[in-house]
Amino acid sequence: MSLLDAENVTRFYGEFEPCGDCVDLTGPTHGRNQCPDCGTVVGCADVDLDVERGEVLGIVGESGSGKSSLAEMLALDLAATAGNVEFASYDGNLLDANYEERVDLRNTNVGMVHQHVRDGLNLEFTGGGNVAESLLAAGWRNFDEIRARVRDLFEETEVPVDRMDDPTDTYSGGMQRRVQIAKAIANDPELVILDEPTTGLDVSVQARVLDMFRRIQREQDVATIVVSHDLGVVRLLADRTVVMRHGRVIESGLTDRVMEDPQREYTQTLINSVI
Amino acid sequence: MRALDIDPVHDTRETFRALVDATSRPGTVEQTPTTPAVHAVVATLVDHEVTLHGGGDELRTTLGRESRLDTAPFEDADVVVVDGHTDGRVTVAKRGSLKEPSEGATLVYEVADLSADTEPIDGDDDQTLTLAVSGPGVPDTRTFGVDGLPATEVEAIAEAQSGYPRGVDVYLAADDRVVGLPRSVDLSVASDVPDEEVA
Amino acid sequence: MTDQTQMHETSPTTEATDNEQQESATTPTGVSDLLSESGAGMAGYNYAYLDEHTKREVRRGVLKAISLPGHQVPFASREMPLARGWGTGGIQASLSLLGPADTFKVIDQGSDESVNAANIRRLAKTTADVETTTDTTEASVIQTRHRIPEEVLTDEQILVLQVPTTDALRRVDGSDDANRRRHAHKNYSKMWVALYENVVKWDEIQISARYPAMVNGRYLMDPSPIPRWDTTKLNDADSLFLFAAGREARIYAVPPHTDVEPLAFEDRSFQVERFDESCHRCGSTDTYLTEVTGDDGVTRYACNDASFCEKRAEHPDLSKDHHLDEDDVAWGPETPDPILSDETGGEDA
Ligand SMILES: Nc1ncnc2c1ncn2[C@@H]1O[C@H](COP(=O)(O)OP(=O)(O)OP(=O)(O)O)[C@@H](O)[C@H]1O
Ligand SMILES: [Mg+2]
Ligand SMILES: [Zn+2]
Repeated sequence: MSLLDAENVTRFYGEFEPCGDCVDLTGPTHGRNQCPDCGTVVGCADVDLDVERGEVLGIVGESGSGKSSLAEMLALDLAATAGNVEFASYDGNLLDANYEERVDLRNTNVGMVHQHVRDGLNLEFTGGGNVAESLLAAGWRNFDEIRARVRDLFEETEVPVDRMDDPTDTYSGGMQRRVQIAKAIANDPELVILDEPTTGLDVSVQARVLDMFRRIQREQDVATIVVSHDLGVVRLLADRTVVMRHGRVIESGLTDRVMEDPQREYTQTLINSVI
Repeated sequence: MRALDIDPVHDTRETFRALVDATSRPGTVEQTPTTPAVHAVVATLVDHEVTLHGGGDELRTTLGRESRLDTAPFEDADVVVVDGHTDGRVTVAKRGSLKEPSEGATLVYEVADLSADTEPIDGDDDQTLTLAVSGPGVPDTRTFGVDGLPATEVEAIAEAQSGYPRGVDVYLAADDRVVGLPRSVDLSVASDVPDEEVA
Repeated sequence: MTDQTQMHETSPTTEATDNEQQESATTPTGVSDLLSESGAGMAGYNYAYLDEHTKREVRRGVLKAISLPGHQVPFASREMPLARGWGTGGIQASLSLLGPADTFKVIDQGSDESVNAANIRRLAKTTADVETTTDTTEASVIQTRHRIPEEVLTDEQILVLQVPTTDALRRVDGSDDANRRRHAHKNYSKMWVALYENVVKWDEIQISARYPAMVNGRYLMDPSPIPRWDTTKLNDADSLFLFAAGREARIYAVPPHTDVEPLAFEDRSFQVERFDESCHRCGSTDTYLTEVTGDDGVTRYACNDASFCEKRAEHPDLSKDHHLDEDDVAWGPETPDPILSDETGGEDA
């Protein structure tokens, strides 16, 4: 069985009562993600995907195509409108998990690196405190052990250890991203979800963060979903890739195949715009 | 409350103190200043700020006359007076929310008898259950005897208290005696009279 | 070294204690004003001052609080013609409990003699016809601010603590709404991070008073501004503890025989204050001491629990459980072992 098997994952936004035709009236064929009848925004709809153990799955698409919505639902951070997700460490539909189960799963099974730093880190805490939070939430109660583990994670993610007791808002963007990664992998999760791991970073910093993560991913063989509007990121990390547009998956396959022989014109345009 | 022979100031205060003891020492049998205890408890706790379900005519009439009666269906009531048992419906009484669990209902059961020791009551041993409680307020385990409360109802109460901190709080009342079973305790039937003895 | 003078907090949040102190200092005659309005004696008052409707509201809150150890239960706190932070929550709880058979003691930071304590005592005596006492062992209801008595409380006694700040999580987040969500889901990781950072900074947990504790393994509780010394008395006690906050309109409780565990790490355990001195009045070495400056300008250490200190001055060997049938009843910190205290505070000795 796959580590994660998602079917039909859907998320609506908006204060209006969905009219019932929102999915039919949106998507790539209509060139929009907002329902013209009722105004509901279809963040994503009918998304099917699966992730094998140890595998890296890339999700690409332009801004607003629904990548973060999808990622946050799979990371148990966002309630789904519809869908079914089987996850190896959970009995039943992952999307129906209650609050306690979500907290538990997030603490031990799924690590998330958020697109927006403030969603993932408490900037008033020290960097070390942020990473310690994952351990503390998972029940670690020995200070010296926590300290040692935080130090290891700082080394692992290449954050200067002598900065670990400084407030996180004094860190550079790249360091904050690394601290998020350290926090996400702290409890050896089975799945890590990275949402735009490089946005806002200098190109040279981007490359180092990606190299660092690729090394950790290989060493620990942790399954990963990496979300990016940047094809370069996905090309570097992902074994397989899905392409999203207007809230739908429009193409999927091995990353090399998708990059070299795109089946959809839109994918071709994405690739061309990068090269 | 004069109608019920309850002094509205001093009897309700004494009853409150009995309830404080009963709630903080679950399973102990406490004494109310007036009989029946169920009237004393309702007179102490109920006014128009809370909703009531059940209770006899006398009680309801008296509360109504003092503008202290606001009734609600079983499922929505803050205070429920139960004559004997609920036939398991205690499980649908209000349990409050995780954010405000104190909105869970208070159920006052009118039972036949209560005894601190677990010897058979009034020689009427075919009716007597020994209940065991443990948890806050109880060093180790405490047992007490209750007459007129079916074992199935005890299980239903335990079920209605199982999602701590959500849940219901229960008082058992008989004559001038009251036992508290707040949701914080673990409640079980410690012994049951075998079926053939009942027959 | 006595670390009671260190006031390092886990966050820069100001201690509500200070507010309370300031406010109470400006209105020392709150209750006397109240009483003089309509003359002395019971005439013109409700029994126990509060009307029955108010008492029912408080009583319902008290019972729910006992049923949910450590959970802050909202209640319709009555406006009292007293300054805020004066302890209106404690007064409402006490007056809802008290009856003519009760003996009432009031402690203000260890002392029965403060103007506040005397006024609250007088209010209860005048309106509820209770006996009053300064002797802990004789009281059935004790209202207190900042201390739990040194003499062991029994299953016949109720301690009502005045609470200025109800939520332990306010140290780490000012948003009550977010904090209530945390309590709802027993999500205390933010508090734990604050403790972690506290240890990073001081190498031990430095919280002087209001030490956060888990109640019954479920709710994180602010035990009111009692010193750490008193925190362990809450665990598995014989007495009932009620915590009442008038301004914040919350009541919470620790029933007898309930687990109360101060938050700490396995290898940075909860520490109580230790004193190298003894009480200059009674010679005690097993009580909570505070610095007092005498008329001669000299600063000395003295028992904070004035009533017990007086007894000890007369009977130096009086144990904290002298009034009980049993011996060696656990109550608060162990008397310091000379070898142990050498280890912990040895350097500056
Ligand atoms: N909270 C919200 N309320 C309303 N609409 C939302 C909300 N969050 C997202 N949306 C909308 O849902 C659609 C998908 O958003 P999402 O953030 O998932 O896209 P994305 O692919 O991650 O975009 P980006 O590359 O900019 O991060 C967008 O049209 C967005 O405006
Ligand atoms: Mg996004
Ligand atoms: Zn002394």
